[in-house]
Amino acid sequence: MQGNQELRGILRPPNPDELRSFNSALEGCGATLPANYTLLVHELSYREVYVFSDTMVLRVAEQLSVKRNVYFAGIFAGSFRRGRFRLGLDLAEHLYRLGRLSSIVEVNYEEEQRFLYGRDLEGLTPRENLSTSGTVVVVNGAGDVLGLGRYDERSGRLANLVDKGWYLRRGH
Amino acid sequence: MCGSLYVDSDNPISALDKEQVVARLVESYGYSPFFAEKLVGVLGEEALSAAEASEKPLRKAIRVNTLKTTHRELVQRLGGKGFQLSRIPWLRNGYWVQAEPDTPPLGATHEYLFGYYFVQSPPSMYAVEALDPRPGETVLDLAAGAGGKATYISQLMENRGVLVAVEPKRGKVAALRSNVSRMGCTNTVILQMDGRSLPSLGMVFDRVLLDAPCTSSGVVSRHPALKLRVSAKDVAEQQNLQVALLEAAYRALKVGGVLVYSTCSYFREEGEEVVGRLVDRGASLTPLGSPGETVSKKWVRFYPHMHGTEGFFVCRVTKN
Repeated sequence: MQGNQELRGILRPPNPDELRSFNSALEGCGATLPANYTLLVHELSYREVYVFSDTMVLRVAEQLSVKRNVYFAGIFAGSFRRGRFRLGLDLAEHLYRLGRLSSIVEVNYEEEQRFLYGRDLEGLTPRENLSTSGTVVVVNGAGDVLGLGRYDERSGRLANLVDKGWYLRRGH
Repeated sequence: MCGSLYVDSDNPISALDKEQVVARLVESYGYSPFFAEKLVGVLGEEALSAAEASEKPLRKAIRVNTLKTTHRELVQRLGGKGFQLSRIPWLRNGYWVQAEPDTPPLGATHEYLFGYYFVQSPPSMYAVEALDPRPGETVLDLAAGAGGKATYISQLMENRGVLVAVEPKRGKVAALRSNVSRMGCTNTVILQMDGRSLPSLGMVFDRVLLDAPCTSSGVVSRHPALKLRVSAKDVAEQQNLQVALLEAAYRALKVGGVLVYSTCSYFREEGEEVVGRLVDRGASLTPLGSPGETVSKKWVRFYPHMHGTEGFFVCRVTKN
């Protein structure tokens, strides 16, 4: 019962290329990381990035990763795919709540329902609260974060990158 | 509202003798003779009331996630969808779900997806409140499972300090990570490892929660097959694991630190007897303020017929 194999991986600081890619992704959605936050890369068969808002959590994660394989720590920032960093929902929501992310698309209730089912949204009519093209945080009228999308201003199309319906579809 | 949470050991059987009660548990409720005898040993004649209460589904309860929303906002939003909530007076963030609409289900509302609440049993919330984690501390959840209690620990810590959550099973550790993410916990470090190896980490904690793996004899209402499945061998095996995990947890606790041990089992072998090992080594039981009562107890037991919850054991230990 206690014998499941551990997931292997190491935690390390990002290299300059990784840091550039991370910063570029943040810039792409009008986000900035508070100066006192720290990044670590979790190297598995793929690379995930964790952000630490608290030095205590960072210190413990680093300390434990020397002896054991840390499965997860801090805030999930995103992962590298084909060498490029893709922003994750946890960090995007965290920065949105801190008021440090400006690329936001607000959708109505009907659009919210569809988006949370993993669907793309077509024909979003231009309105004041629509962001310019690029990666955006998708919110409803109450300011609840629904997910991340890629918005194309010209066509009004919002491609679903990740949404919170995932928690149900994943089965947890 | 919950009456006494504590049942003295060896409840005397007055009206019916032990054999008759055991026979009724076996014949009318489908328990194995082994389980029935254990239950009567703990509850006496009241075992029949517990068995009767376990035939019905448990009342549902939720915990408001104050990391992401407020009590007022959540009650209002869920109320607007047809959910009727009532505050559990002896918990800081718990609500009974008195009524729910046909749709959406409690575990599939948008508010659930947003991490504004966690569907959680009151004894599980109580165990974390007994631990009383504070912002800035170093806390360990040694058998974190899917993270119901771990996410509540982070919530009470207000995401300040650090929580190390340990879980050996791959499926559960994935659910743990998912729940940590959904609930907006940012101070958690998750380790997939056997908790018995904990001393090798060389870390010391202010507080430790051990909600130990157990026979789950307290949750027959959710898993009726357990009535026949739980055996003496299971109890012995679980007790060995619980003792080993508790030893590891206690070693990782700083002097003066607080450890909460809990299980969802009726059996003393998995509760009082396990904690008794630490008392023999000089640890002291720190009385718990029994919910709904003014009297503090050395440990608290929940029962379905008294509290409308699963059978559950909670005990708090201070390291001397």
